[in-house]
Amino acid sequence: MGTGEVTNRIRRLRFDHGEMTQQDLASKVGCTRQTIIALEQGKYVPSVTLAFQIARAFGVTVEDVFQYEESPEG
Amino acid sequence: MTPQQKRAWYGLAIGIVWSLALVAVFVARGATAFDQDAGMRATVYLLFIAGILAYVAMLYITRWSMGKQAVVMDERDRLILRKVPVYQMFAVLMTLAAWAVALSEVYQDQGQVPVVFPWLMFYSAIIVNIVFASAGTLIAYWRAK
Repeated sequence: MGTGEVTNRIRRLRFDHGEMTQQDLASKVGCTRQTIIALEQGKYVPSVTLAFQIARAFGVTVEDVFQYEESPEG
Repeated sequence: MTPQQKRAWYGLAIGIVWSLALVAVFVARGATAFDQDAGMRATVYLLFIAGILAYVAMLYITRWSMGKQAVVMDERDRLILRKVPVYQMFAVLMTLAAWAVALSEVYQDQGQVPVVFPWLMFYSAIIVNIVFASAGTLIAYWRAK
């Protein structure tokens, strides 16, 4: 199995939810604003727990927030 | 900047002032005077305890200023901070190595070192350990970028 990349739609979902701020989301899911920033910039892949918490904060499934894209081998 | 980084900057500032104050006492009076001069010993002990108290107070004050509900550390912070003990251990080992080399060079001919130095090695190891709790935190966040 090749290596892949986890992307997310957190920024899009925040704006779709009344322009929720990064701090609001961080407070809802119990993490720091810097972690939300790192997630949005694709610099950090969250734990399964945090991924579920973020999805729940938006009222969507984890798959609606996070996508796994497998890169071609070679 | 995460709450942990803010704390690390404050801790580093305290640690640097603390270290410089202790070094200044030893430079001014001479390390070997520690054994004979009760006033110097009292000053060093007071500075040592004051530094630790200032560091602990800083941890409490920063926690209090952030509010009870604020998240001070999350899973990403914990992941980053796992590397800090490595930096601390490296710094302490380097400090002990520096002591060993310096004392060997200076007291080679006498074949023995004044009894004050094992204590100074111990105190310096504690100070370096505390300073590198902050410096190591900043390095870990910097590398995580």
